[in-house]
Order: sequence, then C-alpha cells, then structure tokens
Amino acid sequence: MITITDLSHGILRIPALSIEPGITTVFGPNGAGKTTLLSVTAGVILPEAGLILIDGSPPRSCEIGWVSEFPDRNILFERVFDEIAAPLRFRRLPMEMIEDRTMKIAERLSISRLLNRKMRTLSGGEKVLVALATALVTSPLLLVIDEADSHLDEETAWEMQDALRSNQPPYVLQSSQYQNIADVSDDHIRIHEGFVISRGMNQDG
Amino acid sequence: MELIADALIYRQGDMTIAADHRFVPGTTLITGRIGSGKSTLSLLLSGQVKPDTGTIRRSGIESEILSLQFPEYHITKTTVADEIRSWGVDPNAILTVIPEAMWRRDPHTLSRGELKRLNLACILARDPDLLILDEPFSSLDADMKKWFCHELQKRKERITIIFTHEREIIPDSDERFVMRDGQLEDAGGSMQSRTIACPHPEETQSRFGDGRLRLLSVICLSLGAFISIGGALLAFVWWTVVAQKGRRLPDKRLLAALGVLILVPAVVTEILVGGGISYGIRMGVILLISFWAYAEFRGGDMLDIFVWFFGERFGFDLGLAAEMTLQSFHLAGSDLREIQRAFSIKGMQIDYKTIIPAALTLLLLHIRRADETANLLAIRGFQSGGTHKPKFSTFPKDVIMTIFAVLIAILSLIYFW
Repeated sequence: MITITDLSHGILRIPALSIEPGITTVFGPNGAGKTTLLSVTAGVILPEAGLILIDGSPPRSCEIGWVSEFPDRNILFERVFDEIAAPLRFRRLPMEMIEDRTMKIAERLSISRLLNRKMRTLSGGEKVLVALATALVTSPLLLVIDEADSHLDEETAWEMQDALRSNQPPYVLQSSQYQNIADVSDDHIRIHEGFVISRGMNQDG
Repeated sequence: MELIADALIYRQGDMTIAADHRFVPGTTLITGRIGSGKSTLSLLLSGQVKPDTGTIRRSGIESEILSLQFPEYHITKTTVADEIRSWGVDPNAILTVIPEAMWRRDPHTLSRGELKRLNLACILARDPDLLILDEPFSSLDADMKKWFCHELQKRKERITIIFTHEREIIPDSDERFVMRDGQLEDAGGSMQSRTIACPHPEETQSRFGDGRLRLLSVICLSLGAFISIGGALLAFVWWTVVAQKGRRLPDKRLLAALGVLILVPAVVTEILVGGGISYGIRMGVILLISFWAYAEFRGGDMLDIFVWFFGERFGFDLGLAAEMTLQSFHLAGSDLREIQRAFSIKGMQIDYKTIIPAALTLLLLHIRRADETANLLAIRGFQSGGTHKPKFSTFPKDVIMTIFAVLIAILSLIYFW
C-alpha cells in the first residue's frame, strides 16, 4: 500500500491518502496539482512537508518507472535498443544482463522488431510503447504515467493501456484525459485546487 | 470565400503528404492518428511550407491565422498583456478568459493549458476569414474544450479548419476528413484525393562507419588547413573526394553569415597587411570540413568514441553530454523555424527590435528542455557512468582516407616549415 500522510507541497494539501495496488487514475482540471501529486509520490521532488511510503519505504529507495507528458520529445538516445536499455546501463549492470532484459521487455510489449530502428523514424504510437518499455525495463514497484495520453489519439492511448495490462507493475499511478480509460482503472482520485475531493470507483464504472 | 488545395504533394522523409480539396465557409474537422501528417498539412494549407507540386489558392480571404500545436512557440513578448496586444487584441476584450491578475506575468511562466487559452482567445477575438488550428484541444481541460467548441459555432460565415486527434469533445462540423499515412481521405475511408504514386526517397548511405577514424580525419584536416595554404588546398581536394554524398550545406542565411564572418577580416587583413586571402581560403576549407563532419554525425558515435578512449566511468559521462549537445543543435534548428513561423503568423518580422524576444524564447525553450532532460536522467537512475561496449565497423576505404588526412596534416606542417 502507498500511504501519504500530512502532505503539503505547492497548492497540494493531503492530510491522509492510501492507494492500494492496481491501476489508479488521478483526475482534475488544469492546475489542480495532478503532476505535483505524481511527482512527490514518485520521489522526483521531495515534498515541503509530509511523509510518503510505498510498501513501507520512501519513494527514493524504491524502483520507479516514469512515462512523461511528451514521450516523443523526451528521448535520450537515437537507437531504440539504447533508449530502452538506458536505465539498466545507468545502473551499470553487465552487458549480457542488459541485452537479455531489454530483449525480454521488448518481446512482451511486442516491439522486438523496432529494436534496431532509429527513434526519429518511429510513429507516435511506437514512440509511446518504447517510452513504456523504458519505464518498465527495471521492473519498477511503481509506474507513473503523467498525462502521457493527452497528446495521443485514442487508438494509441488504448494500445498503451493494453501494453500496460500485459505487463503490469504492482502500482500504477496515471493521469488521463480520457474518461473511458479512467473508467477501466481499479481506482480513481479526483483532485481540485490541491485537495482530494473524491475517491473510489466511478459510480457508472 | 474559399481555400483551394490543388493536387498538393509534399515529401517528408518516408511519408508523402497529399491533399486535393476545396475548403468552404464552415467547420472542417480533420482527424487522424499521431504521425499521420496533420501538422504538416496545416503548415502547407497556411502557406508556411511550400508544397513540392500543386498549389494553394485563396479567394475572398482577407485575413488568416494559423494556430500552432505548441503554444510556447507563439510567445513574442515578455508580459501577458503585451503578448495579447501582439496579436492585435485589447487585453480588456478577453478578460473572461485571461483575468487582469495575469497581465503582468511573464508568458513563459504560464502552464501549457493557460498559454493555449491565451492564444485561442486572441485568435477568436481577431476573427480571421481563414482559421487553421493544429491540435487546439491538447492541454485544455474539459471546461475549456467546451468553451472553445461553443465559440467556434459563431464562425459559420468563415472558414475554420481543425486538425485534431480529440474524440470526446469536438465542435459540430460541416465536413470531416481523416489523414491516413499523409493522405487526406473522406471520414468514410474512400480515397478523397487523387491517387498519387509516391516513390520512396532513396536511402542516403554515409561513409566512415568508424567514428574514431572520422574524428581523427577531421582533426588532421582542420589542422592541415589551418597551418598552411597548401594544406588547405589538399584538404579541399580530400573533401571533394570523400564528401560527395555528405556535401550537405546548412541554411543559406547561416552560410552567408559565416561567410561574412570570414570574409570581412580576410579583406581587411589583405588590404592592411596582406595574407588575408590565404586566411579566407584556410578558414573556408575548415568550415566545409566541419559541415561535412556534422552532416556525417550519427547518434551513438560520441558515446562510442569517448567510452573507447576514457572508459566506462568518465567516458560514458562525457559521451552522453556530447550526444545531448549535438541533439540540442538539431532541436535548436527546428525551434528557430517554429519561432520564425510564430512571428510571421502575427505579421511580424524578426528584425533588430524583435531579435531579443525571439532569442529569449529560444533560450527559455532550451532551459526548459534541459530541465526536462535532467529530470528524465534522474528518473532513469543516472548518477555517473554506465555500461557501454563501443562497436565500430571499420571499412578499408575509410582507413585509406584517414591515412590521406594524416598525410595532409604532415605535408602541411612540412610546407609551413
């Protein structure tokens, strides 16, 4: 379980919140604090005050995967293989293990055929799947998807959801603009001006 | 009033964008998956990009605006109030969308959603005869999307063309099309445009698979060309032999600027003390060599070379930094084009008065991007160093050309002494 206690950061004020394993969608209008909530939960930024624990450990000591708002503009390497393998390389794992794990994740997301392509030549949807593979290659405890689908067409957004479900980490925290994608998630958190205003499944879902 | 796209064809990499349609007053909705060519067609229709063949004709259209997908490119001023005025709109006219409290803020500090609101409000206030919108809904929340759709209903007498992937909240449209692999088609799926055979552009094969040899050659040739005029001439011969395919030169204006930078001191030196012509030739050759090296650069080269030379700890960090610097050069080029577009959309020119805000926009875009990249590196777990096994494919021809490059440097040295 992810537990958030007495959190205060920017406009975000969350006295107590717990998130069960599964896919949780965060909702809210522009400027409500969605990205801030995702960032502090992932340990990308340290909160001004408050405590966040993922299965009892602070976020920075956990393995976290992140898919950013613009998967096609946040690319480090030119070749698909190098991009997916980057997190493993940064951890200085031996080359054989890097190759093995990169191949495996590519296979599970059905993008093996892309490994030798250049990032620049991929379609938008393929780039998103590569970004997802890169986030999943370290087998994270928590995967965060920050508005990644707000610049995607619906087919591509669903492709990403399908790929995610075939390879789901224990916790997934995503912000989405598509109501029907949010409807199929396990849980939702609606925030407004920094406060959690509703919790739990949608009535109609 | 109408906009006619007459057998438009434009090639971009592997894709061919094609459209043949008469756009009339009302709302035309063009959907399609990302990467299907929507943005490019929006640039073609607005005249920002010239088609390879075919023409765009307008009749009865007196004013037009293109709204770009990324709102930050539209910024030309340093306060929100001035930014609104730069669109030719009185800030009081759009108070319901952009409240007075925001007027004094720097537009670069607004979120993408807020910036998009600002742009759309200004564009609607201008009420142009022809309005082309590239992804107007991205970054907007549901309430703003509904507001924008409502506002568009008031434009029935004018032409509105919307490119979007949005499905849930869209305005009522008079016509709908889908972009598929660059082709504009009826929403039903039948081919709307004339079927056009589009041959794939041939793959350009570059030489020097081994980045180490290429780097060594560039160093030797630059040195040779710098030391003596004889070396410069030999290096020029080398360039004409090797850089047959990679003889790509940058933008004409950049070339002219660099040319002037070399010519002025050369002419002044020639007149005052002599030797200026030799300086001009030597620098010119160095420039040609560096353009070639830049055009031949392939992603991963720097990482390979640095790790091979300095090892997986320092070499990896240096190589990664070099890779990113080179990528940011590529990005700076495309950013510049976008900024030029933004200025021309507002009917402004980049001149001595606007060069500073334009440069500021470019700088801030890069700082923002550097910040995003730093975050990305941290998220991916980068601390220092990394695993990398450099791979080089060395061809005999490359070795021979490198030997010649080294010889040129040595000959140049001898000639100098």
